[in-house]
Amino acid sequence: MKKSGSARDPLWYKDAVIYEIHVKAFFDANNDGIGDFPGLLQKLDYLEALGVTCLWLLPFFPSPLRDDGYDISDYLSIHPSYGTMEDFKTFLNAAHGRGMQVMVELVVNHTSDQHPWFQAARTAAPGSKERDFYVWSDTDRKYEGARIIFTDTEKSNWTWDPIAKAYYWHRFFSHQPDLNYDNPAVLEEVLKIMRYWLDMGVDGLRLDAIPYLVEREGTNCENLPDTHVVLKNIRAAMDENYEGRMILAEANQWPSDVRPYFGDGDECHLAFHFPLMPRMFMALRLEDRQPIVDIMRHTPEIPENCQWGLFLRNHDELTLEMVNEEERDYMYLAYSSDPRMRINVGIRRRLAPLMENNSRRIELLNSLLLSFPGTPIIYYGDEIGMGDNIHLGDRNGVRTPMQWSGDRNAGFSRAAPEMLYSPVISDPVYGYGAVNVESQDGEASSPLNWMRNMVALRKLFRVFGRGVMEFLDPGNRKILAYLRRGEGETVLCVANLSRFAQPVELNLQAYQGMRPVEMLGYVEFPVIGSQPYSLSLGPYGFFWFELQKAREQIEAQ
Amino acid sequence: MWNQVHQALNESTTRVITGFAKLVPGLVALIVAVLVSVVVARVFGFLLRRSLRGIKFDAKLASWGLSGLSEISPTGSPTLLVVRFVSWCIILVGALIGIAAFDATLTQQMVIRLFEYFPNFLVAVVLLFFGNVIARFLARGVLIGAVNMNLPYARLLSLGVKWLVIVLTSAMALEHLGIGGRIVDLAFAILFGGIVLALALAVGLGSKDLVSRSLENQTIHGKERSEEQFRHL
Amino acid sequence: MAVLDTIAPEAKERADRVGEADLVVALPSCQSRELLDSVVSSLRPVLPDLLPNGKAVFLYPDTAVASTGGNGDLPAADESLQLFPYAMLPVERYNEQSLDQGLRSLLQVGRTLGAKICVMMGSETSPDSLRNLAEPVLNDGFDLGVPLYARHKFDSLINSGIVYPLTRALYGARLHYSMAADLAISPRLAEKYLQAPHGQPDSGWITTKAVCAGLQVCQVNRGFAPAPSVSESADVSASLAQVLSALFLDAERYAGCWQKVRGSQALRTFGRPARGETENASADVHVMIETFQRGCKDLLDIWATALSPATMLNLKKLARLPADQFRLADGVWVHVLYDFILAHRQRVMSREHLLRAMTPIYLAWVASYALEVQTFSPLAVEDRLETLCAAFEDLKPYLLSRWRWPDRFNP
Repeated sequence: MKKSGSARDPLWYKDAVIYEIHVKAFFDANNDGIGDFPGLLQKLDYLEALGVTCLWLLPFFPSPLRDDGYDISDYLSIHPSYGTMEDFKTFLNAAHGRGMQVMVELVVNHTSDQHPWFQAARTAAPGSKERDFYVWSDTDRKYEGARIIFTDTEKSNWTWDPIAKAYYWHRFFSHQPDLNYDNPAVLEEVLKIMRYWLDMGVDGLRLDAIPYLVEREGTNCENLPDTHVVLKNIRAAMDENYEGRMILAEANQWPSDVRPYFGDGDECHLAFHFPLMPRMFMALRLEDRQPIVDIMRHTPEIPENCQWGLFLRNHDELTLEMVNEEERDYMYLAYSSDPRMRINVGIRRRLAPLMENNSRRIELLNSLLLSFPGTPIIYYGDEIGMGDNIHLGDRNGVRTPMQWSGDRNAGFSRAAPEMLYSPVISDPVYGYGAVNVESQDGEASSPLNWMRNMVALRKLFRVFGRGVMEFLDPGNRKILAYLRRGEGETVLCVANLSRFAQPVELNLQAYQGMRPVEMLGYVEFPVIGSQPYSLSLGPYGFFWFELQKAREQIEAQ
Repeated sequence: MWNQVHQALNESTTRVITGFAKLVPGLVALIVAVLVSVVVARVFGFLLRRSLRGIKFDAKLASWGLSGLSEISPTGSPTLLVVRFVSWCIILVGALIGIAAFDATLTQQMVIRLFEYFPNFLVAVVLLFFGNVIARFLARGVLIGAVNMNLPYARLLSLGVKWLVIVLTSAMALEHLGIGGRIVDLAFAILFGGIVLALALAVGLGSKDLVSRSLENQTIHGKERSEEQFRHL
Repeated sequence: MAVLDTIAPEAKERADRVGEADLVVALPSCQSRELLDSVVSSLRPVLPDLLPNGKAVFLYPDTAVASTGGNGDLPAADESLQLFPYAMLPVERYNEQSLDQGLRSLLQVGRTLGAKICVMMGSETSPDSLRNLAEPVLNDGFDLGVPLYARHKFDSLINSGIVYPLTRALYGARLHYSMAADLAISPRLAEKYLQAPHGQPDSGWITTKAVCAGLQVCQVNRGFAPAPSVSESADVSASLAQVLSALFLDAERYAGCWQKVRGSQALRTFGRPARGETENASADVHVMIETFQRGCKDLLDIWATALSPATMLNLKKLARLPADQFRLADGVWVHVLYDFILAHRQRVMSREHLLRAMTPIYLAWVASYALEVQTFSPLAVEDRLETLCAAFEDLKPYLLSRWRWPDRFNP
């Protein structure tokens, strides 16, 4: 039976606060050391209290797990470690019952080499329908313009398959052959997968690695026009039969290159803003707003029904693909003192260790995340300031079990510690003894409660999700000041990127007579006059002001 | 003569050594039993703590308004309190088993009796525990109610209710333990009666005031009662 | 949008038989056949004026017919007026549950019949009442008509001291009787009220729902308020707890709405206000003051879990004042209420205990108010209550800041 989506407003994703979860890392209900859907179900109360409105689940499909589930061998089932399809449906309904939406992954650039399609393809005759599901070649010299993405592990985008006696194309790991979108049967199969999950009531799909869907000789094989044809087809199929659903694009590209993925509002609803994230970190370290202002100035307008997805950290490395050479060097020097913290073109660390566990810095960055134009995405564990483990391979250091309490295994599982899919963080600063949900829950001024309050505040003002942004240009470059306008609300945000107190004078001429009311504590500040508006901010301090009509103005009306 | 002394000394030394040798296995068994019970208590305590946390025992108690528990043990949460209690019970059982290792009929009988007694003991403790929690909850409700009714001895009343429940549950607990027999029943009946009488007096004395006040209002001033002057809804 | 359809099968059958109606009126207070007959015959002449050629349906409690042993249609029924019984509790104002259930039944029948207006007549059943309430909704495009009562200065004190100022400060509408049992409701509001976004209807007062949904609400002057039934006024503490509970739950439900509201607006009011004479009643409040003083002695630690230290100190000072100087400052009273809202939200203890523990402080407010206004003219009393409302509005930032940033570390 086809179920409808759970959101009432078709533009729900604009007001959403997304929470990114590894099912395996969240909570283990059956004590096998791996998190599962029944575990996630038990923790919905926690997520509801946190205030997030949409849960983004990383891949939970059957897979050899050589790329953390992004190598899928069956798109229509649940990995047995995470539970059954019934468990998933129960979880989905419970989340909907709490007014939360659920987004799942649609990894359709490639499959696992264990997928039946690939197994059939490698044994099928060249030119046959089965063989054509993937991109084959007799030589590894085709499409040489395409760069290698996983530079640390892969030497070429082609790998020789001794069974097929041909090279197959892969943009990521060699065990992840790319699907061939020049074969119409592939798109048909992908649409079947999409309908399967949407029929179940899933509200959103994250399309993984979409710039690489199509290959053409003489190009870098990224962002090609034919890719957009595929996307438009997917979107049309979604719009045709489903209401209130959403597609989130993962395209690690410059904003101007991402812009086409929104189409005319007929491709993706949401796309990550990749270049913004490293620049937030850079601006903070440089104590200079310029990197942020620059990238936002170079961010094009997007269609009315589209939105940027914003994040500080996610399950991957802090990617530095979208900065120039010099900036990358600076970021490495600033945030990865130990070479083991680096992977591919990025830094594999969580938010709290990047900020050296300074709560004011963490709060400042989160305040930017929650007030910039776009939908904020919170990575699990960052709300309590979890740490990472750089001694684990690949990006597993930021995928450790959620720290629920000071009990054994951080309260994540009752299995023997050696059975856990990953060791828990146990160092004295970030370990589960010091950082856990239970201890932060009851403490009013804990990072967790700070996050809850801020998320509630963000949701209270729809202007954050829907309004336009306008930077102010104060003389002091350590201060980032911007206005958010729309929905009948005006919000002024001021952030001090410096580690010392800073003065600032803001030009608020256009708002003369309005009264800034600090939103966290509802404190009324002096009315804006004809002179520049003076403020002082403490180290890494930030203000969110609601600009209200002064009482006198209301009475005059 | 020297021979006799030597023999006597030898015999007594042998007796002492034999006695000691007989004692040693029992002692070792006791120590082992206690150690094992400590380990079991730890494990069980851990499991219990996990499951109580799992069902959010503390939060549930708090939501039932039974925060009184934390007053009994201000240093630990209710969960810890329960866990500690269960752990000590297990250690006690271990010690009893250890004592049973001594091959003496007397200790064995004692152990058997204690074991027979144990379930009663457990029930008694649970009774006391819940009695205490309920007493505190009721006492707060009565205190608020009595103050709202403007009864002069509100605190006394709430204290009375609290002790009434505690005494009642204590009597039930002692009954379960089989201590004291009829004397306890009798004593508690008297105590119970006393508290009820005290409560009646408290209410009576309080309402005496109320009655005289309303009579004054009605007869002397010939006015309607003061409460009727105001309509709250 | 999902609307929870909980209409009883028999009623649905009756409604289907009736087909369509323009006006649906619920008469929950007609608990006997005689009463029902007389009310129906008095209301009947109003119908043609309200709805020329319209069809009306009256709902009465199913106990009314059962009491006479008869069933089947009442003789009064004809083309323009149908009657049918419906399981309905007697509506108690202030009782969220009974009011909510009665309203829900009425609105569901109204929705099934496609009515242009639904009227709940919970306390008054006079023809004037029906006409006055229904007209603004039918003719002026209002979504909700609520009666506005004149009152003696010592009447409906919970409303004057708590409900009106608090709802006004929170939601910004100067709606004097947000818990009135008589209401006229447009289909638009009915639809909103019956919506069940998460499978369960949001309960709560329909007045709050209307104001927060931005619908048009008006007041209708209805003279002096009918006296509450005995069961309603029996126990101050219980009534207070009931009202506060409904009020505080609404505050939690509509937190997103009231946090954006500043100041307050007057509502369009129909009809001429009635005004009472100056009564020079000397207030006998010593029992109330005593209760408060007793509370101050015995309930201090309970209050301390809800109230901030500064407010506690003010209450302790108040308890030491002699009766002639006994005045509870508006600011302190407002802080008490705001602190209790927050404590209720954070569940610092059993909610029932918390709400009941507020009674002595409420009585202190009543005593202080009574002493102050005992010689006032009705106009002066209005002014005094207006000052109180202003205090609620002025201190709203305090509530907002603590709501947004809950912390036990308070002034």
